[in-house]
Amino acid sequence: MQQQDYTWLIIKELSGDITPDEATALKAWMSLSPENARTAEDIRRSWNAADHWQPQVNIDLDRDFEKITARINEPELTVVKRPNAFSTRQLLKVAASLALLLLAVWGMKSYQIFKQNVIQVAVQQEDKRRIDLPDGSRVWLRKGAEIAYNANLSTSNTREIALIGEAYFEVAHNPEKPFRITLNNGGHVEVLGTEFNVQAIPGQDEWSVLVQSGKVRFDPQPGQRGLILQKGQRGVFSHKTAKSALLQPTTMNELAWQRDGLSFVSTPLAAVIQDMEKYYGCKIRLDNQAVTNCPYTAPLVNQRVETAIQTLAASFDLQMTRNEEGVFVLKGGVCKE
Amino acid sequence: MPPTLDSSADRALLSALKAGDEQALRRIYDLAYIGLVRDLRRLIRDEDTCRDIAQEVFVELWRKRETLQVHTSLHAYLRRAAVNRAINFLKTQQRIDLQADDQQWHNEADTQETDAEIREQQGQLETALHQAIENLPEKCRIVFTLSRFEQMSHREIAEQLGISVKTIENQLTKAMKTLRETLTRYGQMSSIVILWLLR
Repeated sequence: MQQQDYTWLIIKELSGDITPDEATALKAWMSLSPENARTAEDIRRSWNAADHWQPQVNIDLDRDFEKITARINEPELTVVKRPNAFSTRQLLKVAASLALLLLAVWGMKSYQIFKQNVIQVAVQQEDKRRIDLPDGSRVWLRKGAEIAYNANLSTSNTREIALIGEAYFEVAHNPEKPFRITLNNGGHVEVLGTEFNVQAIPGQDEWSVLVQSGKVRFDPQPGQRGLILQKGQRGVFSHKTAKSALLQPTTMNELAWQRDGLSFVSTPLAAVIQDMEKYYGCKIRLDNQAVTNCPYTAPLVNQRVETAIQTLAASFDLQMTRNEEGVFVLKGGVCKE
Repeated sequence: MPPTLDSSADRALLSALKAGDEQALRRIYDLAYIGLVRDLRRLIRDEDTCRDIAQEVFVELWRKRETLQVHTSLHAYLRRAAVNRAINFLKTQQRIDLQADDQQWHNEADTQETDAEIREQQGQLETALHQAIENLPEKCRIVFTLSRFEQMSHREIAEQLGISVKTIENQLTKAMKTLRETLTRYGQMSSIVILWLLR
């Protein structure tokens, strides 16, 4: 199918006209490439951006109401039958205060949308960059990540941040002003306490939030009540299955990018290898199944990949070789410690 | 969304209206009128016409008050009444040829694009996007508005306007293409701002 056809399917999905078959086809197309996902995302954003499109009108309410009453009274004189005064007055009182309340809420919202000064930061070249927010919070953006926030973050009533990609947050404690991160699917992470990592990379199936300290709420999709995560817990959301899960990771090495290295405390060897593969982007094969659960402790692993694996191999008497595909192969070895 | 009347307020106002209370009409008017004119302005450029149509809706509401059947909410009822009148107006009074070939709109769209570009240079993305919507060719803007803001299905829009679903498809695709272009002209950085704006 051509690009055109998918644009149309995306529009159908947005306007709620999509059939289940079309939805399946669209989902498959979106998962084909990051560009496809990006295209769909752009169209969705354009669609959503129209939300605040409100043509300006200039209205004199009293003058226009007079026109209505004039038209009502034109053809025939309408006899106005009044109900008893007491109930009418009460009714009007309720209606009036309700009207005021509704108008107040509406007015505030549109004011906020249009009057704010938004600051945006994108990290494209460096591996990470630290941003100090006006409220004293700190954010580490990982390569490829972007955030946007209000310049008067420290004085506004709520602390609202938008995030695309991965970032580590150290949120200044302020129970009066919730700190809320909007993800690019409209999902949210709301901070009830302090330090955590958000991985929300467009086009990637799994998004996750790992909490280092404090308490965080992760609402992976708009309108969907999510998970409350405590210290050391990891919330994972899969776009494919639209399900979320609360996990207790064995290590905190999802944060290695922010800490400049891995760290292990009596971590089973199998988990150590997993983390190393992820951090260094390499492949490691462990041949001896008898050592998979051996505990490994190393406070900071940030050397070159060969050195790091060699050090690991040495502590369990493993023989390290590298095969022709570049895979590190570990053989033999015994548990120590 | 303009301020909406909630269901309990609806019931109270409706029963007062049915009893012939002109004050209730005024309350409903105060709550809904500006919103209706704004909704209409998305479909019809001329504000006076929009105000006229919105006023007719309230005249009608008053005249029909005794037999009035509101199944959804009062606000939804008024809005639908206004949109139906607007569609009728577009078809009959303004004589917009909804069947016409798209070709005829091309010139208009091209000249208006410069306006949107100027706004963009001022760095106001949202303004530029809204400007781009305002500058969509007439038919394109009408179809987009009915789908995006009036929650009408594509089939429903096709039936109301008396055109084919295929034409609706083309118009909506064109609208989204224009909006997406405006969006991407801001480059990669701006999507994060849009996200922030839409939080």
